[in-house]
Amino acid sequence: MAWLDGEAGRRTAEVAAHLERCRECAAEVEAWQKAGHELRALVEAGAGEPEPLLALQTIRDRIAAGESRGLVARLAAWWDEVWLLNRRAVAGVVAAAALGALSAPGVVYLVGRLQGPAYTPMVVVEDLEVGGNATAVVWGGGEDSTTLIWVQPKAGDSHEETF
Amino acid sequence: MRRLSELVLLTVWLLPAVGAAKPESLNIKVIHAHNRSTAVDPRIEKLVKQFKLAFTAYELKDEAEFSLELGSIGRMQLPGGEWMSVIAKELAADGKLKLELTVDKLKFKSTVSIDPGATLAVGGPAQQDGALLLAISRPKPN
Repeated sequence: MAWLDGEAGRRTAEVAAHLERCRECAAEVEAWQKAGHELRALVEAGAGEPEPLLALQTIRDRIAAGESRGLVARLAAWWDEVWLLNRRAVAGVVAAAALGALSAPGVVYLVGRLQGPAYTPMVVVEDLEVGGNATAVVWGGGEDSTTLIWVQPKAGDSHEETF
Repeated sequence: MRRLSELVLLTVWLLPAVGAAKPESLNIKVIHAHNRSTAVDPRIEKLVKQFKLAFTAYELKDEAEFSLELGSIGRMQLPGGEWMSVIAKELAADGKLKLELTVDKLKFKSTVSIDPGATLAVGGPAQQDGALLLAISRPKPN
């Protein structure tokens, strides 16, 4: 049988030589070959040509269809998978997020009440006098807590400090 | 140039007021602003950024802490012998402290109300290719 199937390996030549000498074995091989041909003819006549690539092609088509789906479809598929495999964890996360969203306005309100409005320390210049012909400019405030009074003596006035 | 301790003499005359409340703290810094370098004293870096002046260098020449009762006068001698006076006039209900500031030779006089945590800077006296800045800060209470 192995010789018939081409699987006799190193003994192939040995078997062939034996078959040339032994009429009985040669007749048996011939009978097997004939039965094989008849069986193949029966299968081909009943089932037609088998198409092993047809199933493979179907699988490939499905994969290609999956890859060409939109982002939404893929996300939906991912969500289905997550939901099926981690239902409790997902439910917990969703519940926590909902609780946070519902309580956030209350927390903001309470923190605002505890801290009070934003406070920037200020300086109010109520009165300002500079001598001679000097000029003074006041600026500052805003978000800074520093106010600057700049006194500019008139050009020619000598008022130089020395260390 | 003489040493800093020789340059600036600090004198505070406190004239106690009758029935004065808790003393008010003030911090006064004498700063020399100029363009001869780009060095900024790290102790005043945050403060001078708020001035937004065109100088490139700021040196802290002197610093003093005053604890003034209402009606008291604090006096500080500036480089060159000039004097600056601070009088704590009154404490308003909203927490603002009213101060009267004078710099004699400049003939500068001003009345200001200052919140805890705020700073008033007086600048302008010419000072060796730059200017003097006097920063009066009222610390926040502990």
